Amino acid sequence: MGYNCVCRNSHMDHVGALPYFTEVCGYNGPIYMSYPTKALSPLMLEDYRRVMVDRRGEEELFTTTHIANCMKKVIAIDLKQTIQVDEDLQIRAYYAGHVLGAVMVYAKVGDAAIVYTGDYNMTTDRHLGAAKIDRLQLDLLISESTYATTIRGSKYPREREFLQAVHKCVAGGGKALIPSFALGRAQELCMLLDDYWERMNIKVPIYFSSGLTIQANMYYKMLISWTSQNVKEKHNTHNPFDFKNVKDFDRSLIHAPGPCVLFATPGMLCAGFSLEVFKHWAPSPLNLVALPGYSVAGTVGHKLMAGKPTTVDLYNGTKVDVRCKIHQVAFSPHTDAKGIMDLTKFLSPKNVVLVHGEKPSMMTLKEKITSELDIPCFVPANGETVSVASTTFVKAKASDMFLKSCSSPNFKFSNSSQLRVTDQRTADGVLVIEKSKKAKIVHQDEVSEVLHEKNHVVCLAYCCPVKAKGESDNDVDLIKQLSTKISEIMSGAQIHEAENSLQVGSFKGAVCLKEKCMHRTEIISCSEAVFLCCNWSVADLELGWEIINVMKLNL
Amino acid sequence: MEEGDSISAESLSLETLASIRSLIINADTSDSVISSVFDFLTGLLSRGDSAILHHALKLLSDLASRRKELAPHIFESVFSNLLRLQNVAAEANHKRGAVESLVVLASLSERNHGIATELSKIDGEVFASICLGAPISYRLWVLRNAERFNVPSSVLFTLYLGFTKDPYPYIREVALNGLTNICKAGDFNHAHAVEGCYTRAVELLGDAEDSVRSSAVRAVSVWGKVMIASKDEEMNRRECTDAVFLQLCSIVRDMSVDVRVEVFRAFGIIGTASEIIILQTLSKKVLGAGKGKKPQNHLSNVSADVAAAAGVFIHGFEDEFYEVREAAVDSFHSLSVNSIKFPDEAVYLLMDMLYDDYMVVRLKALEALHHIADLGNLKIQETYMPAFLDAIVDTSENIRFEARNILKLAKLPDLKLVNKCVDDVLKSLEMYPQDEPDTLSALFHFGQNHANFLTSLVKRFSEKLGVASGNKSEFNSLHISASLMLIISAPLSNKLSIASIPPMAFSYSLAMLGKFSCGLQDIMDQDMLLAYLTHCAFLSASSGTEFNKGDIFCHAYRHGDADLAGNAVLLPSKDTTNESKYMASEAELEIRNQALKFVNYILLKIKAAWLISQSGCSKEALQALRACKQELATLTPDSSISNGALQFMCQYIHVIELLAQVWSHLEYSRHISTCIAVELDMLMEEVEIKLMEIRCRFTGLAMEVSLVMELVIFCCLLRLYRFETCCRLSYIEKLTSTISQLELHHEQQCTNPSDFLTETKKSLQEIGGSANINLCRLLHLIKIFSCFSPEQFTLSGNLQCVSVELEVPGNGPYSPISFLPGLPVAIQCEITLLNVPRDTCLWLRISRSDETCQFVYVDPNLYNSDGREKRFMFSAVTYMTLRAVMFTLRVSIGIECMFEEDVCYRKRHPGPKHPVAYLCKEREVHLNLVSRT
Repeated sequence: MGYNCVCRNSHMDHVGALPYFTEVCGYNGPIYMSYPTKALSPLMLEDYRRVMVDRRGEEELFTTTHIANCMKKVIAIDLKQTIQVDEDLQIRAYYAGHVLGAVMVYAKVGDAAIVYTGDYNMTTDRHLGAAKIDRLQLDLLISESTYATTIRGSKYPREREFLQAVHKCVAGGGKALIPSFALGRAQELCMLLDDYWERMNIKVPIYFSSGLTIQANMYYKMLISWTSQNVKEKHNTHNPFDFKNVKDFDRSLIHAPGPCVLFATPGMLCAGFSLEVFKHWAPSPLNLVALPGYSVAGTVGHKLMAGKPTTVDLYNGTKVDVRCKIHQVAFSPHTDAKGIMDLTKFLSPKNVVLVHGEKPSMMTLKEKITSELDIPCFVPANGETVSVASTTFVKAKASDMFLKSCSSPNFKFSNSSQLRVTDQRTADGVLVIEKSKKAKIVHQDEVSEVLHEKNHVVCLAYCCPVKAKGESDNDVDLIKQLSTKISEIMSGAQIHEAENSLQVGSFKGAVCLKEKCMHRTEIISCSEAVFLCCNWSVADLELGWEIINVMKLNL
Repeated sequence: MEEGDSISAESLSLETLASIRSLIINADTSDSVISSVFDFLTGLLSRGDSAILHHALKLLSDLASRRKELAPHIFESVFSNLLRLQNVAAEANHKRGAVESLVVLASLSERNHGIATELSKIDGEVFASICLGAPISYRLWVLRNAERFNVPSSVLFTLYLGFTKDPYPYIREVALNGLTNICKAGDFNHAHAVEGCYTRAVELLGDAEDSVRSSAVRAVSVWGKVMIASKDEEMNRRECTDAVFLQLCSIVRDMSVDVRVEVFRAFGIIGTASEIIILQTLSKKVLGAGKGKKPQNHLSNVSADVAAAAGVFIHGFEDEFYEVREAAVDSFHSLSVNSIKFPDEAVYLLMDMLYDDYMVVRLKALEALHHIADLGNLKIQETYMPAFLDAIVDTSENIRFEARNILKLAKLPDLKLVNKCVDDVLKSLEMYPQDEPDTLSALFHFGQNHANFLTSLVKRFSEKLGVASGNKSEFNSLHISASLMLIISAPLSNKLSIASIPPMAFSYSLAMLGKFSCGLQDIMDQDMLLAYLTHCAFLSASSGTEFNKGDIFCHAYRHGDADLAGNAVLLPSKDTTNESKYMASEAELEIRNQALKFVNYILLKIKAAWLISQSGCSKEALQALRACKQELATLTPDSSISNGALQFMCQYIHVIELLAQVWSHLEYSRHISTCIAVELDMLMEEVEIKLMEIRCRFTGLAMEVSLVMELVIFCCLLRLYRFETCCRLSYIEKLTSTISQLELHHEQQCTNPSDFLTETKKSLQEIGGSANINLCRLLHLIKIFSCFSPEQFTLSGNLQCVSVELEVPGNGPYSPISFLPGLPVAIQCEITLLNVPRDTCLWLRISRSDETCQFVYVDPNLYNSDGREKRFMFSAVTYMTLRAVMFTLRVSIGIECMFEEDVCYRKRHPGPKHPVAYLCKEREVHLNLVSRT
């Protein structure tokens, strides 16, 4: 799908380069986004641009106009809406959790179908639902694997730990700093705290530092249909994003006395306001820094998580004493290893490709997918090509007879160790592909006709010794005798007798007078015994052998 | 009139059909026209045209609904036409016509009672051929409505099983639902068929369609359950259970909400699994022990690994949809019912659910916790205390109720938590004063359970009391009553000396008697409470001096217990309904005497419980007995076990429970503190009353007679050992006569007396002869009492429970009976007797609030007719009219217990000469002075 772009979510690692791509590189194809992503992306991009250019003074990659122009080209799509991009390509979006508006993309080119998950979450959190997708026939599943080896326990204890850490801090008069991305985690943690504040009747203020988060909140309030069941139902009475205890932050409040909770961007304490507040608050042992999720190596956030440093170097060379408590929030909007396995198992694709993760853990997961689910799995490096077989369907015409036999069910029950049922309808069909002709399905009865061949029938034959020679050699008596024997043992068998032959169903037996019969296996010669030459069709396979056994007993 | 005939069949247009319809609808159309319309329409049926057939059938069904008398004829002609259609050809049009005829026939027979049975004319063969031939859109209707026809279930089964292979998902879904219903109806237990069905359902767990998968889960659970039940050996059954359970686990991460809900419900249906699997369901990480362990699963090719169960309940509990969470908590509850050992982690997971946003989930979690607490496994930790306390002040009444139920059973580790808990209960009481009775009861239990901390609690509240007593207006406040309740529960737990409670507390409580007895009505009635309080007040004031035997306390108790006599001991619990539902539906599949088997199993448990109690673990024994009661409540009376037998079992367990309680006090020493002596006395009284009741209230006892008599003997021994030096003679007399009676019984029944009986008889001389009782010998006898032997329970179908209903029709506070002081007045009672034997003496007891009472003999001629149930009117004349404007009397009915071993003790009084066991609750009768005007 080289000429078509789908943005799966509004985080910077997914949408960050889009204006550059369209406006600077000159990409001209369609761009698809979910409605929330389309709403939130400009905010994110503008914020990114400002941080890059205005604060750090780096060279600007794209301008505000670029962003605006780029967004004009975006086509918004809804969940489960199927879009026929062109003749071959069809795409459809499925709910992915992760962040408001994140989607998984199903794409079908011809008969080959893939799902690209993007970032997704298999468990619900406070405000978002879990990923949801239909059971599709897939040739390939491309899954993210940020946490390819982690298995998380129940979310409730993790939430509780976080709440208790914050509560303990503010109860002791400290200030809690929660550096976070503007989208997703901030709202999640804030909802958690707001609920808890309500329940425990805590009056300590909660602040949002950046305007971005506040703007994002506005969109969150509108895009309720993309949230979880819980939020959707609650919002009839009270919109959960109307945080009751949240106030705007003012720079002067950094040094204000008394406890408070502050959400500040960016999340990894790499720059910006969160770092500035950290500088002021870190030296006090009363305070708390709650670091959500994952931090890139080299950032202050990473340093804090790695050990328990007493001092931290800031980027401009200043050092800060760290005496505050550090709490690592143990929840992430990415699915864990079990979630990836569960999704893979549910979709059962023919192949799996893992992306967006760290190589060693991806290899472990690959091993697991291959061994436990028996699905070929690939972990390609950047630029590496993986080829997998794809499905192609052959169109075939069906004969009238086959269609007719298909219209009504044709069940067959077999009962060996347990009752099994099969529907013979499709089993009756035979696919005929002839050179230079279109493929055709015919009913099995028609095959010989179509191929201009004769029908062959498999028969069994056996020349069976039935009586020692010597006594009264009357064929009629012998046949009578055999027939009573057979009817004695096999009740219900319909036996037709003739002068020197008998017939049960397709089983026919006649007295054999040949010296050497080709169906005879016994070495006894014709002079020693009377033989009955029998033949029967495959359909009566078991019946035939049963009768033979009966007759042998007579010997 | 000629209209019908004038239409030639060829010129039949929609207009003509419409006019025929108007003729049918018009109520004034003459009968002759209608009959020719009928003839014309039936004539149309036989024509080959399917379009016309469609209209003709529609019109005929209209006709049948307007003219009921024609319905049988219409049914007949449509039916014969249906048979004709079946025989003609396999044209698609005809097949459609056949199904449409079927629709008409079904609705005809359901609307007209006269031809309700006619539908069975459509036999399995016809139905199957219609069903197989029907076009897809009609097939769905036929399958969905198959149960309306009297088709043999074997045919239905074959059809449904076949159609699970249909290419159309809706048909697969309907077929699976049909299979589920067949299984629930319990008609199928052929091993191959069951396994085949189960396997097919398992295959469909992987269906692409959501609705098919959710139906498949249902089918897997019910057929799996049947398959498990069909296994003979315990080992096989367990393996099979695990296999089914793991099979269900594998689909727990389905993306469809319905499927997930169904999966969790299915866990509840299966109800149990190996411990290793249960443990695995609580952890997302694959546990070491479970790695690589693969239970034998020969039923499907999918190897079911214990790892499949990883974190099933964690996923269920943190699901986005409350329906799933609810189902998960519910099935968790069911699993905990059946698992003896349920891990602590499980409890923590449940506790987390108390924070859920949805009331229904919180409620289910509390119910499950209540159950776990009932089993004695609940340890509330500090972390979870807030969740629990939130529940106590929840806005929902149900949640508060359940939370208090847990409170009654909870054991908190330290004083801080206890104080916090009490605070929150008080807060809840302030917020919801309507909960007061139940809250008081909860506090009473809570106080008993936390005897260790009561000293400090008493101290804390005593101060409050002191303050409150000075201020009259505040005296009645909710806080005061609650704290009093907490304090007065103290003497019932043996660890607190009564002396540390200020006597004031008891006297204040007396002032709140009404309020308190309302709260404690499930434990004791007002009289008993009064007796208890006065007794305690007296003891506390005299700070422990020996109390006077035979005081008002015991008398009050005797009266009080009679009120409770009619009460059912058991309360139906949540899982019982669930359980019995399945038991009922699959009853046919179970072995016929499954219920009896179950009862035997309970008997084993009782025996075990008795042994446990003797070994000193009375608490565990009581828990086990309580569990037995609950299990018994899951049984429904049916052909194999009668209602009377079940009631008998209930009463029996109750007696054993009481005896176990007696034992717990007895085991340490003979010399115990007075307040325990009081309790012991109460317990013994209760046991004796219960035994008397059992003997009077049940008829048709066979071997059970010896069972009850042995208990009576045992009680006598206990009395002799423990208490009654003064009344020794009467007890010895009772003992002797009971023994000889029981011997006579054994002789008559040609059965062997138990060791206990023979031993007791041997030592009778020893015990009774000398002035000093041989205590060692007594103790030995008491110790060899082995509760019962299984053959003593015959539980025959004759076993019936006597019960009585008493009503005073037309009487109430606003419609009292008029009376003149000093003159007798008649009370018209409506009495319903059930299973009352002929030669019984029934007494109507009429009592006044000052405990004076009068007995009225109920004329046996009124009820000595044949039949189980008798209903009659009875006028009781009473002389107890007061010089008052209005007052109330209480009436109840009792049966006189005429046992040989009892000595008549009421020779001089009019009324019954023997003790009376009361058969119904007391009714209040309101009387009003006749006004002079």
